[in-house]
Amino acid sequence: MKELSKELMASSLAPMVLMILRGQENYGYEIIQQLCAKTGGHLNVAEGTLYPVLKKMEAKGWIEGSWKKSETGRERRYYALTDEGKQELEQQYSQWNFINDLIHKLWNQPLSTSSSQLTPISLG
Amino acid sequence: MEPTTFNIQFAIDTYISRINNQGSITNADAMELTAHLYDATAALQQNNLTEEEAFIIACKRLGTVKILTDEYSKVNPSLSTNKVWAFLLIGFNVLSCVPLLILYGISAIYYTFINSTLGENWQAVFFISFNLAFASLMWFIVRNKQAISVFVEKQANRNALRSTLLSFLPLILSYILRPALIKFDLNQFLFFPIRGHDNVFVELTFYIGAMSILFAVFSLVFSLRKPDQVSLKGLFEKPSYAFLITFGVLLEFLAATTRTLRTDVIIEAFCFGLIYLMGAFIISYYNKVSMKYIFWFAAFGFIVETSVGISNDLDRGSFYFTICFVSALIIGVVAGWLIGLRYSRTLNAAVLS
Repeated sequence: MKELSKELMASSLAPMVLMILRGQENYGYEIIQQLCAKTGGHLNVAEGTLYPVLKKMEAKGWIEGSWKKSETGRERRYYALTDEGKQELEQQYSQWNFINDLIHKLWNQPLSTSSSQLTPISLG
Repeated sequence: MEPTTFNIQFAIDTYISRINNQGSITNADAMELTAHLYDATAALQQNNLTEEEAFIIACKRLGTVKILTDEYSKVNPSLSTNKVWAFLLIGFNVLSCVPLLILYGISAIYYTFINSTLGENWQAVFFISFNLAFASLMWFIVRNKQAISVFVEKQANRNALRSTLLSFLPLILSYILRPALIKFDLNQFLFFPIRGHDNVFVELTFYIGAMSILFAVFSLVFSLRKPDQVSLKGLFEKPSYAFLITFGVLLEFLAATTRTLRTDVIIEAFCFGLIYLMGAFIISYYNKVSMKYIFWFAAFGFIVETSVGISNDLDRGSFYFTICFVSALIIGVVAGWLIGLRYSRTLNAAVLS
């Protein structure tokens, strides 16, 4: 299993949750199951740590939580994406893509190139 | 196969209350984690696991109490803020009212029974016992500060509102009982033994009791950076100059109480020097290179005894007292230093062998 660093995991959890909630509202346990399934089991975090992340996202207004009765009769907290959350997701998506491209370009640079020969990277 | 006694509701409630007791989750957080454990256990049971096995795995995947507490405390800062206020209120109530109630209780016992039934000597024994018990209580509190604070923290975490309200009980009690307790004049009870009994041991133990409060505060302040139990080694090993000077000031006050013995000046000076010997011994025992430490520790006492002593001796017309006490101080400090070094070496040799 590919171990992701704690810091990388912490910063990437929020956009991943936003993407999962893009389709439909969901509750904590199901969000974790979807994350595990979509990352092919590479998501190696304590499941309980997702809830503080959800709480933080709710405080920022990206998602909205509400208590609903499940089919078993127990209450679950369902989370839905807000308009603010949709805008945030778009921003984060483009930022992650930019970082991804940047890393990709840097990785493919010839190792022996001197600093004067480096190709400028467009930030636009 | 033996019938299982596992109860999922009880197991989940117990696990969640362990997290809840840490004081960093709200009731809504606890409900959400509870719902998660039910869902996870039910899902895992579909993989042919028993309910108990599924629950254990679900708990493991949820995360340890420490991880969850740490993560939740980042998003629930108001809980820790409220907890600090709860601690402040509990501390204020306990420190201001519990000692008052204890003193009122003891003075009620004295004025109701002891004053009317016991003779002069037994009354002195009562006061000496009370003063020594008070000094011991102070030392007990300092020694067990960790256990006491863990207990208070646990209570406040479990139910901050209940603990804070309970801490108001002594305050309410002292207000309700005030009309009945006012006749037990606390001031009279505390200071009468000194003025009324003319017993040197009552007076000496009274000062020891009073000094124990200062020593308790001193020990707590200088062990703030040492989370473990307050011990002589923890306090005296590699001491700061602030610590040594403060210790020297307190020890000078304690040593000066021996003058209440009002006996022959040689005996008083002997007791005075003995206290300095003990102080120097402890510093020397825990610090191999202790000469500079000894100097800073004894500096205040030496200056005070010399300056105040000479001033008093000028009034008396004799320098006999100052010579006796300053000599006792120097002899006590040097003797304590040498004995401490000797025993320290014996200890080191025993450790090395």
